[in-house]
Amino acid sequence: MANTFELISSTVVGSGGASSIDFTSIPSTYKDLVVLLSIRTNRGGNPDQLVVKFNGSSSSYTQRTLEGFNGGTSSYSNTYLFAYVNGNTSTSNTFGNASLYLPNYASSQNKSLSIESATENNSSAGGEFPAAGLWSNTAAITSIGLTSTTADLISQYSTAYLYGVKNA
Amino acid sequence: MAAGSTYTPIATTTLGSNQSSVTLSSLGGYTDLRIVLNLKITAGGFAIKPNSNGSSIYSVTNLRGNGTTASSTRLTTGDLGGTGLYLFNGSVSTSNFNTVTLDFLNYGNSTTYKTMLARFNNTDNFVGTTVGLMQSTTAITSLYFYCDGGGQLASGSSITAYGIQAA
Repeated sequence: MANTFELISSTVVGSGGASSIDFTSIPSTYKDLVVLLSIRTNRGGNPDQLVVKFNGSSSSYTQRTLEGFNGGTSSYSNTYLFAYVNGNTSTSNTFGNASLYLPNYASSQNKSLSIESATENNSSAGGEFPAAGLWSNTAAITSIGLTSTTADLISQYSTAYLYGVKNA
Repeated sequence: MAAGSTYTPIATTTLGSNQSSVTLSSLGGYTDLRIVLNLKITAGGFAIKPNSNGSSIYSVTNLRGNGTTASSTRLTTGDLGGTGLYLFNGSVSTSNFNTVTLDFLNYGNSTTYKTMLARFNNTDNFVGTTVGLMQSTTAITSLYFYCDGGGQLASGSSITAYGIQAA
């Protein structure tokens, strides 16, 4: 059978950390994209927001987040896309998990995506954050950039995997 | 998720015009079933009837956030009747496509009721997650997608079913 869930690119952050993780030259030959993340940053707090940008663009994003955090629930909107990840004050060796699902990423319609993230921690500041994202841009997505919203480094041993999904 | 041939597209469709319903059929043969929708509807709510079963056997519980508050809704068989597995209604985006994923685990067995896990993103209005139950032991072999309340699935919407094989 055909391989319909293919690894396009991967990153494992090395010693010293990384200011960003960038997937570039993403081919348009798939139907959907999946990004799977295990990320921790050097932010002096917890959690941190890992900002997602497409094609280097800083505009036309909206996100609605449903939050379960420290036993409470809330919902809010932002004008940028992000996944929550663990910051440097969370339990040692603990990384936030996140996934992005981008259907029809190469289409000429605005891009809708699903974002899931979780930041478990051996004290307070643990949470789960499903979110709906939109990039109101009709360009095909050819690159994805990931940075800490506080400009802190992404920690060593963080990983990011980009998969392409075919429907035939 | 599994890689390679264990994640297999079974059926897919992209709508060339507005349609009141879509059926994906011949879905059997795998351990689990994942449905990916890039969906826009014109009005009403969105629901799924496995095997086109219109009996009063469905219940759902959802958790959603509208950008201001978080809330939860419970709909029993008495509420839903034969509507099906109801995902969302009200303030549905008609301007942008919405990312929706559905998971039916162990969907092919003929001894247990079937559970659905859903994530829906109404990009203009809310984010949510739903668990649904179909009180039927019949193996799922088809899925009927439609809009309750007279709406339609809009042109350009796409629906793909992937089969996940345990071995």
